[in-house]
Amino acid sequence: MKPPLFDYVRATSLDNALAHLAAADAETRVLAGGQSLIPAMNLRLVRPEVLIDIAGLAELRGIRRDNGTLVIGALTTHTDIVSDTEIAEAYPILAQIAGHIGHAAIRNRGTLGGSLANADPASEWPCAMLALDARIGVIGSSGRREFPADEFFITFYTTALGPDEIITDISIPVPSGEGLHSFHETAQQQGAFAMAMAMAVADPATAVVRLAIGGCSGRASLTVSAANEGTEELVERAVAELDPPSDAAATSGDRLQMARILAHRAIGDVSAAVPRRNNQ
Amino acid sequence: MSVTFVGTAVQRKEDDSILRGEARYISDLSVPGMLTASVVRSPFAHAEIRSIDVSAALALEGVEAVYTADDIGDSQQHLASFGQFPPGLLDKYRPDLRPAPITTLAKCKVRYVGEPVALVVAADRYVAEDAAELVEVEYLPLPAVVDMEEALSADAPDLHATEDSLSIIAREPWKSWSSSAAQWNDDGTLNYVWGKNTALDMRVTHGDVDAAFSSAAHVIGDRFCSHRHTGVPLEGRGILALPDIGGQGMLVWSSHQIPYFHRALIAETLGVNEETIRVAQPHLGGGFGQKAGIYSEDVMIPYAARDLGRPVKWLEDKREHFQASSHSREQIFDAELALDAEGHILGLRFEAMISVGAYHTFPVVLPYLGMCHAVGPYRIPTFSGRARSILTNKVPAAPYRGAGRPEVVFMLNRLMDRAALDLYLDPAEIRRRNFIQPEEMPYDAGILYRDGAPLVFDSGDYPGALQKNLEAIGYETFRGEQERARAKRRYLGVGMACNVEAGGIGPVEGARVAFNRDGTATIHLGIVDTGQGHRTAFAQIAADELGLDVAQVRVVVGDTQGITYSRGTYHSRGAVTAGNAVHSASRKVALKLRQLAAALLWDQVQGGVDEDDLEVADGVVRSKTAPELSVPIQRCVGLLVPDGSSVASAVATGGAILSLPDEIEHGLDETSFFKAKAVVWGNASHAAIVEVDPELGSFDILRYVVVHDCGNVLNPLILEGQVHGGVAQGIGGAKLEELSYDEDGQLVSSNLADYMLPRRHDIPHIELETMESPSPFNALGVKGAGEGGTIGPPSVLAAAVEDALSPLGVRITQTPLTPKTILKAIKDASHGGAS
Repeated sequence: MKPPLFDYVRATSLDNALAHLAAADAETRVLAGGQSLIPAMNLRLVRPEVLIDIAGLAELRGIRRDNGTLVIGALTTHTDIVSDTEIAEAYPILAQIAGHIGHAAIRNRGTLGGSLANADPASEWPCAMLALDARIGVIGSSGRREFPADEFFITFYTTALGPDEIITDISIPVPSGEGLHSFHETAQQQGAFAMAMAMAVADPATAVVRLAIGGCSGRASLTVSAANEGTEELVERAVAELDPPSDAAATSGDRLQMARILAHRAIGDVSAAVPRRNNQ
Repeated sequence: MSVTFVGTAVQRKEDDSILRGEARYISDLSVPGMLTASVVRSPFAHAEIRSIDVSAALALEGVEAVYTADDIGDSQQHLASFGQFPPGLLDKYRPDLRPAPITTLAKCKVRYVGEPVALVVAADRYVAEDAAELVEVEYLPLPAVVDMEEALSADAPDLHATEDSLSIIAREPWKSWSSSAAQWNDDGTLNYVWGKNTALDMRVTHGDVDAAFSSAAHVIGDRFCSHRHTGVPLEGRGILALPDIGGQGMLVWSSHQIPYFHRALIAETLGVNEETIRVAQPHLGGGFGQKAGIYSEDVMIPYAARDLGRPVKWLEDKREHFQASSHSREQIFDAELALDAEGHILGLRFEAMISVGAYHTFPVVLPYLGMCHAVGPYRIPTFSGRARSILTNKVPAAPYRGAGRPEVVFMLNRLMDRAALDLYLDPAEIRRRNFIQPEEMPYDAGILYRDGAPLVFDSGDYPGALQKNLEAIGYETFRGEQERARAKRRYLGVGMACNVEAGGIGPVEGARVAFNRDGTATIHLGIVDTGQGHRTAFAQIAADELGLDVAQVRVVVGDTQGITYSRGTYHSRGAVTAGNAVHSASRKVALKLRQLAAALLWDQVQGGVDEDDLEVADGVVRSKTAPELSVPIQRCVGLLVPDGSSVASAVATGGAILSLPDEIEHGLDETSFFKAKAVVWGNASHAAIVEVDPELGSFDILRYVVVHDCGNVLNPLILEGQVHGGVAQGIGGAKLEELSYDEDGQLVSSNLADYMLPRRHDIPHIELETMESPSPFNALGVKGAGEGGTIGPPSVLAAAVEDALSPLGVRITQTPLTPKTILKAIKDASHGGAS
């Protein structure tokens, strides 16, 4: 399991990375934590001719509060999120979600931006970003763009990110109360790819629940509750959109059942904040 | 009072270097001028090879050679194994046995994804893999057979009715089916008596099983399925071959469990005498049976090293591990148990299908160990078992730690639990009613063991082991807890499983024990330490006999230069066979020390000292009746293993003896070969408590208790580690690990993301209690302990999950215990209306 020959460029700054990217005329990939890209290269499933390594760019790493928004640099690692004091205080669920990712060695190198750019449907972050109504900031030769998460993810390993663009930051609105978020997933073991996951985020001001379900379709799905919609209807509306794969450990039908159960559990956890019909 | 090491928790001597990263494995070895190999493997499960073009690969810079089947010509071998039928078994049960030989490199056909087609040798692995991609093989894909029942169907292709199989069978008729005369006519032609894709079909009976079934009050039957999974040693397979440059022969470092067998196959491939090859093992990071077979690389790397006159190395990567190292465990049992009205077993009959994959490499092991482990620890008065080994387009199957035992133990214990349900008995009670009792030992089960000798359980307290386990896990108390949990809609369950475990297979194993001039000793073994702690346990045995500290005894394992012959490491045989050989060789050495000491003490006591009155302990040879009469071992060593300075010092100290007495020869170096009368039988009782989430089909293991009896324990610390490791592997196999194929025969789980090994969170604290029923069959009274931990988990976890879901009427008949299996069982129960 060795990759074929490729050229390697270590970017010295974001501008430098963008310049290399814009100048590239060969198959080029941006390397961040490398936790998905490098194994795929070793298996010769992807064969970039040029790798632009941005892992050392400090300007893209870090977590800060900006009024009511948490801004996370794209190169912030999962471990950074698990161990950040600001997050532990203002947004502990992000640390909880990060804890589901792989194991410690993977979390130490893998980055938030890398996970979003990779858009693996079984990954936690794309699902969470949908429920959290995050905005994903990218920069490229034609300048900066910002996507609502729902417009960023397209399907399996496919996003709205242009070939000359790099994700720079992720903005997440900070909740104004407790008990407003819940994330559940089921995997065959701690750190394995999830068979299904669900996240519910409640907004007490509008009485709206955002329900995201991951691992059960080409991309995570987002379902926003309608006025006076009961939990049962909301969950069924969400589940109706899913098309989960079958594999050795779970059939498509098993995954639908898991998605339904986890969605109910997640909504149940936030139901105190936004009471709904059908709550048990 | 002298120190005794056997039976004590001596810290493992090898751990210091392993933990510091100083232990050396194949991947650490590098020599000047070394080349690296990569294997071109079949991308198809079943295909004809039309042509192979290596020109582009050879043209790549850094490539030294590319070998195909045509290139190696007569060096093409049938890669046989130790797992052949012994004559006694063939004569008694007359199996229909079909050779389906695996060859060094595929020539006409490929039969599984990952099968070696060519070997590339290059400057480094990167270049070798680039070149491997450039080898152009033209294949004609054929329909693949992935399912055992499909392989037996009328329209399935016959996987081995082709020229390459038949030509190698005709060329090497003495191999592997050598004793199965039934297959060979007098004129040397083949006799096709077998069914299509059936590599083995045999039946073993004992007593009148049909009469037992017709008189039974209850007959319980079902189909029980174990799934394909395998060992994943931390260190994969690997080999480094150095050509003979000094005239002493070729040196081969390999990560292999049977170096002497490996040597024999290399010698056949190279057409040389095996004495001209030395095979040695550095540290091994696990073997688990996978490294007991001979693979293409094991002979091709030495071939390439000789051909190129340069050292050549190959290391398996993880994808190769899944695609091209042996698999195991895929078995289906259709089984029935006959019982009387009180729940006593009257008879057992089953038909087993064993998936052996694309080639028939270990004919006797998996099917026949299944037979042997079906007849205990419960009394089975009448028995009829049929085993069929089925060929499919999957990786060849071979023994994996447990080797046919976990599957049959699953069948037997699931039947016991089902019988308990049907007869309204507690699962513990139905077991109690059927155990072979301690006072019945030795107990002849009425069939032959895999070695051809009668199957006799030598010792053990099977009911005692279960009782001890039920007390440890708090079985009675748990039932109350379970009721209270159910009231809160929590699904807790308890399961138990009991098994016997044969270990210590013969026929023979050797050890050489020698004193060094500095007064330390070295043990030379042909068996291989794949992680068991041989460097400690065998040192304990010798230290006790030689009056040394464990630290003074060095153990050298797995080197064909150490002793003349060895059978290697498999079938939980190290402690029993090599252990007793070490014991015997050490005693021979001690006897020589006593003889010399008696001579030295001759003139100090009226009438001399009788050598039988002497003991070797605490660094001296001394009189048991008059301990002040003693000779330091070092002095004896100086005389027996002399050099210039020791002779000089004898002169300087005015020693009366400048030379040895006439009747004593120089040297303190003895070899013993332990001859096994029969295998020895350990036993175990496993129990677990789980909590199931019936909505998600998942479960957690809350408690896991093992009561284990492997006879006298050499080192309780090592035993505990053995059992813990085995249980962890068993749990992984029971709920996580699965080698699944798609309908085209592509292996879907060929990396560690898809093939999930158990991790820290998956393994509960494992509680171990030990019983010691010494074996009467060997001097140390020991039995095998290496495989026991892996046998129980599938049975016990299935039982516990079923017990937890008993309010839903769920029946678990298969592994792995994935969400798919559990959710389907729940669904089937609700549809079937089970009560």
